[in-house]
Amino acid sequence: MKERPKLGRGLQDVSRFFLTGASQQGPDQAQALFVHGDNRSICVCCPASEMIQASFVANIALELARHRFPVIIRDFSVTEEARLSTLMHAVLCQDERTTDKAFVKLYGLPEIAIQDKGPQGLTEEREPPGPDARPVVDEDSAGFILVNPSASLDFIQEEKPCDEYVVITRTDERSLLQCYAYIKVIHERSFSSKVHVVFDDEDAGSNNDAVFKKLSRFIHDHLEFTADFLGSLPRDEHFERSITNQRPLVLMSGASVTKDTLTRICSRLLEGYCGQEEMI
Amino acid sequence: MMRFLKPVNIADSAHIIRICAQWLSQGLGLRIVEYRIGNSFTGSIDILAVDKGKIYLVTINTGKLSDALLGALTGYRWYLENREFLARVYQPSEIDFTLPAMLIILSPSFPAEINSILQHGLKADVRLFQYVILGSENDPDIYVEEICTSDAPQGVTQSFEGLTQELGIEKAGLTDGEISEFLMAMRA
Repeated sequence: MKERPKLGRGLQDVSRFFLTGASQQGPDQAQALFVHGDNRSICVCCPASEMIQASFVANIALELARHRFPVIIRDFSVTEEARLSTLMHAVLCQDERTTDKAFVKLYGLPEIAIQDKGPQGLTEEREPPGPDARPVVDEDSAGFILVNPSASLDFIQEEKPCDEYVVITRTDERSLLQCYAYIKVIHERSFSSKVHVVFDDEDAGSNNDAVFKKLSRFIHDHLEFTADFLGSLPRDEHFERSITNQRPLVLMSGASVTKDTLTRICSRLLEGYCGQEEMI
Repeated sequence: MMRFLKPVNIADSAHIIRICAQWLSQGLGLRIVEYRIGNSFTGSIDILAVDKGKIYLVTINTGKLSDALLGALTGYRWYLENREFLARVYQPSEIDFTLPAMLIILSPSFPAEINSILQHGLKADVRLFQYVILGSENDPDIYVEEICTSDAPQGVTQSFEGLTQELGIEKAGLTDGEISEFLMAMRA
């Protein structure tokens, strides 16, 4: 029997809009960029705000899906409002037989699986699924694993290191110090992990490049390590609305500076995984 | 009546360490946790001491300063490598190994530029004290002075314990010196 699309017509329209300018390569080609079992894990940390952190994860997951990459989100958030299943509720399909697995399936895009890990650790043993359970997502076949960590340095210190980390920070002194502390712990935990910095800049300050230059120089001098700047994320009313509407910002219609910047930041993060012509 | 105190040479290094420990305890207000910790091959610390916000790895120079400096640095490395082991040996109520560590070096003399040299060459926080033992071997007096040059004012090493707690970054192990340097770099 032909599978009926789970989305209503409106959401299909949204996904067509969302797909504008996306890669035309099929899912097989996108997956072929990865050797079987060679996933890339990206952990997003925003020490100041779990909501911004989770929202960034949701949007980047959709951007990855837009480029035809299969994605698994591992959600460790313990705050209900900052869970991916809450922030993506408008486009979420919940597996009726399990409570900790949900997925997002937009028309024509690979599935985004959400594993709600709650306060449990990555290594925690779980009970085997029952016979009626939906098949567990095959992590070997996933291109990207996105991690939404719990709000604590303990998570980075104790859990399995990721290949890449995105640290989102404000540009005041204290937030930058917090960002530096996170980067130091990440670097101590895993020398090979890449670190990207994003400035969460409500006022879109003009001297952010200079601020990052200072931060980057300090990191280089003290940790002998180079962090990468993905850009500054300004805020507009669409961002707030996307959280209220429980719909990721990149799926919202209408012109939005935050959405455009977010897409650009995601594209920079994905450089090396997607062709340059797709980034524009 | 005026009293003249003459410097005295004490040959027994353990005796000097005991005198210095008494000053650390009574003069600096530290609590001594252990003497001679570690080993001579991979690094040792003459005195392990604590106060409310820090762990102090104390090296006392009783011979050549170069040996003491090397001893302090290898002791520091030993401490970093064995911190988890130490945390299992000592009760958390006795010493909290999540606190930032600071090196203290006591020596009868230091070269003039020592503060500046260490500031540029070390990431760890260090306090240097010059000591003289006076009187007699049986009834010694110790005179201790902190070495502080104009390029490393004492005020710089203020405590950032409250700030790190507030930001939830205590476990990153940032030293006060590192935080201070970070803030200065961001303000530059």
